[in-house]
Amino acid sequence: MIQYFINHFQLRYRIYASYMAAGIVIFAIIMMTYVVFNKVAGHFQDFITFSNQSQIDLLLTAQVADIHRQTLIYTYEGHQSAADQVTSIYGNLIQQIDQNLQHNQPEIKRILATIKQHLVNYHATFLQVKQQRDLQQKLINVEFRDNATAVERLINQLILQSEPSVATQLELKPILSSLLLVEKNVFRYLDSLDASYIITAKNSLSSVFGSLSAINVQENPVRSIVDQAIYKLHLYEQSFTQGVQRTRGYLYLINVVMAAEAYEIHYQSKKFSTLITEQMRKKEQAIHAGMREALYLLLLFGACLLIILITFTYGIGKSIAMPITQLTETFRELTQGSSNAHIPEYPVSDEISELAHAAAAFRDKNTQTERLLEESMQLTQQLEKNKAELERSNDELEQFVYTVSHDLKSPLVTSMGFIGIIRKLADQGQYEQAIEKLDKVTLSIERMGQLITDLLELSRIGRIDLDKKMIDLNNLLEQLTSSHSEQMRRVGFHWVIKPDLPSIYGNESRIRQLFENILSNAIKYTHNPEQGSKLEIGAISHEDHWLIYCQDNGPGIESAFHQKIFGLFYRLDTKQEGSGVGLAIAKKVMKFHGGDIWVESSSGAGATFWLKFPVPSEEMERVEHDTSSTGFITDRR
Amino acid sequence: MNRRTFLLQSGAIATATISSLSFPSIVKAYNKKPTIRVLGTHVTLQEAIRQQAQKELGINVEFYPGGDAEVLLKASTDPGSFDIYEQWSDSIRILWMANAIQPIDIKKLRYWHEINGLSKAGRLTDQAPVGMGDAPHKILYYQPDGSLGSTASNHISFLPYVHNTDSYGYNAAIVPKGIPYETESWGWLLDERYHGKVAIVNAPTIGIFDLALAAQAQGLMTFKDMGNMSRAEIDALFEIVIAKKRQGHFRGVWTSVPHSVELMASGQVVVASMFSPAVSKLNGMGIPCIYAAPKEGYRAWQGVMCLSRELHGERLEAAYVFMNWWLSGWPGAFIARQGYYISNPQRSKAFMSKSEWDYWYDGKPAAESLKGTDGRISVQEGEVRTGGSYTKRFENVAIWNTVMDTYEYTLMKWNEFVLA
Repeated sequence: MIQYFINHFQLRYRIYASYMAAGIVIFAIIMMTYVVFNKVAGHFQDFITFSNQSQIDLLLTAQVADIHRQTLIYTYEGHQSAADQVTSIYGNLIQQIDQNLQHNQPEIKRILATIKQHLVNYHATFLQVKQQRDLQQKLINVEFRDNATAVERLINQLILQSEPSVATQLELKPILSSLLLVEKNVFRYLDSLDASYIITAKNSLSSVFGSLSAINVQENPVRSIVDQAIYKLHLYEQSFTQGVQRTRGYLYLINVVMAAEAYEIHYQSKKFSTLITEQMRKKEQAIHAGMREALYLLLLFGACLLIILITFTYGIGKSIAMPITQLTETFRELTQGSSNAHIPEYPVSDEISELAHAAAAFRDKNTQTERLLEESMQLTQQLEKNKAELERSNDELEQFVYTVSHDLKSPLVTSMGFIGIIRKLADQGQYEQAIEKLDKVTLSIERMGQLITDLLELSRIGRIDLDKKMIDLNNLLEQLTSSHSEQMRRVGFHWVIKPDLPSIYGNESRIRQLFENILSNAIKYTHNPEQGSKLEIGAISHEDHWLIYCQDNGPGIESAFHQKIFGLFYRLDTKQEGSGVGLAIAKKVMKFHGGDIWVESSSGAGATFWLKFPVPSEEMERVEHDTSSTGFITDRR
Repeated sequence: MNRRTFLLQSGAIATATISSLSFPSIVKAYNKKPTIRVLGTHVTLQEAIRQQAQKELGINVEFYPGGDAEVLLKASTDPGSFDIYEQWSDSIRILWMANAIQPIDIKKLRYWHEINGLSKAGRLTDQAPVGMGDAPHKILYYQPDGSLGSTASNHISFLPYVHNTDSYGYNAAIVPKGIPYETESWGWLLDERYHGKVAIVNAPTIGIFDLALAAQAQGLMTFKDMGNMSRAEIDALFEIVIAKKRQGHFRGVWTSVPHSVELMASGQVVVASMFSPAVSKLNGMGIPCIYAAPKEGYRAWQGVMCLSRELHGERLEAAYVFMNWWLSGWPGAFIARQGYYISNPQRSKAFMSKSEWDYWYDGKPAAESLKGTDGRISVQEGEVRTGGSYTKRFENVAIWNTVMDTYEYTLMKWNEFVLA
């Protein structure tokens, strides 16, 4: 991710992105919180609705209790205000239910409709109660009393009419008492609602009927009064019997029918209350659960967002810091002069890429400085080397001057000595002897001339004959063999050349001179009468050099002379002719060819001269080849 | 024409003929099509019966069905509002005391001699106990002193016709099935196992006996005479049941047969006082409601027909014709298919198939599927009527529905119970 940011977005956009990400996260959390609170607010609204509904329930419960209380007051006390109150409460309840029927959910509506139905039944029954009670009141308070009064009046009238008959009076007076008992028992019944009083009243009434019916009077108006009394007595009985039935009727209605309706209202109200409570409980649980869920979601969402934000911020921060850190490290290395300090790849063009470019420039500068320093060091080393070489050359030159002056002075001294002898001989007239001495002088001068020629030759190496080419050593040594075969045969020297010698790049005349010198030395110094003097030449490839070895089976060279033999005019055996310049020339030739020569030997074990030639480069071979081809073409022409 | 149709039609013709011959005055009424007004309950005031009566008798019959209390109040306070009153024997004392009905002349009752001993003597067989309370025969005969009693006379206060035994029903899907007359007990109404799932009929003259039988069965109290409780006994009984109700034992009271069906069908109730049609209805709905045969005995009731005090003349004669028609066979067979019995069953037997008779009266397994009065199958083949035969059921009557002397007091205590 980090690399993706680095590769695809500029620094400023990454910074913008981090701020935007933070903003989005904050906004998301705010939105989430809003949703949660909105949901909770909805639940609270429902809760309030349920609370309002529970108020209706409370209202129902209270008012239904009140309406039944008022009904009982009306029933047992007969207060009209209680009846009015019943109707008022009923109207209020119906209104409340109707209002709530419009808003509530089906289950609540069903319950409310049931309550309403029971309430309607209750009120309808109450109206019947009222009707029955009104009738009862009318029967008891009006008709019953009127009929009682009428019967009593008629009985009194009979008593007056039948005044002369004591027997009739005795029959009539208990009737009045019985009538009073009837009335008394009827009212006792109404007070106590004990039916036994009615039975007693009926019995009393029956005795009255019996007494009146027993009056055996035929003449009017007494008969007429008796008949009227019996008739009124029937009305009297009917009024209180009906009164009793009306009483029983409304008692039944209120205690059975209305009580059942009231109970059903209570029951449904309780059911309603339970439903509301249950719904409120569910809603409460839903609120709690919703809150918990919301909090959990908020936490989870917040944590997720935070993780995303941290990751994103980390990514972006890292995408900013990482290249800067890397570049800082790079700069730290660069300040230490590193020329190969790693500069992180930074594909996007922005401020950091500018730093990377600066680092790259810094590194280039360091590289350049390092190269210059290296060159400077090389130059210094070369200078030191040159200085050493110069010192060595000076030493050599001093040695050379000394040697040359010493070796050149020797013939001169010899010549001057002989010349002095000759002069003395001449002065003495010994001319012949003097002339004989002249040969000695000549020989010394010739030797000096040879020395001078050799010095000249030595000086030419590296100055003239500078052209180089590929030289096939096989051919070269074969030619050399041919030219020295007679000499080698004469001294009995064996010249062994190993096959497949390499080609080297050099000056042919100098290389030939090199091998001639080695061969000459070998012929001069190798005396091995047992095995026969021999020189074997072969080649070994070693790294980027060819090592040509020239191995003889002579007496060998002590290690003390391994360096000295390459000095000018140095000779191990002065009895042998020679100027002592051959190996010095060989050394200079090898140096001229970028190679070297040394000897490995021990006394009595022969000597091996190693010639180290660089392996010709492909370029050298290609040039040589082109030259050969051109030459060939030229020759063909 | 099958046997049943033949019997039905021949029975109707015979009834019409006999009616015409026996009551010449009715011929006149027949031609004028006199109208009689019948006040009563939904148990017997059924449209099919009215139609059949009009068809067979040639008179107009008007039914005025209503609730128990409503019709009793109407009858007791307004004798002019009806010609015939059809209700229960326990309403007779009220009506008689209210002077709302007139004595019925036995001589005018064609099938009086066929009416069995249950109505005339309070029991069907000699070994059967007479139930407590107002057994019908105790208030059947008009006494010379104007009161009602069991001493035979030429006049009666009511014509006994439809009757049955009631008990409680229980939902066998929830309540473990009991053994009739052995483990089934009125005590179940107060059994704690059914707490909150019990309902009682909202009729003090009936429901109070259900509660009294339950309290006695539970060993909570005893009665000197359950059929005529003292105030102290009533107080003790209601103290028990009100406490129970306050503890939430009762779902409540039911006020009509459909209400009782709804309560049990909805699962609000599992044990309740119940009437036979409600049990049939629940069974038809697939609810296995069992009409218990309590070991303590049934609560029995006697349907009565009374004549209004104000009825006379042709309408009185027409009313006698209508009463006689009720005992002529067809009506008894009709209501037998609803589980009710008629006081002269043998005459109805001719209007019933053997399978019907065997099932409804003899307590035998139904030999075939039996149809109800609505034409639908109400009894499946092999089914046996709970409680057994007619005789068996009425040999186990514990109490008769009764209006006790403490009626008013009972009403007030009932109010306490209902609202507790």
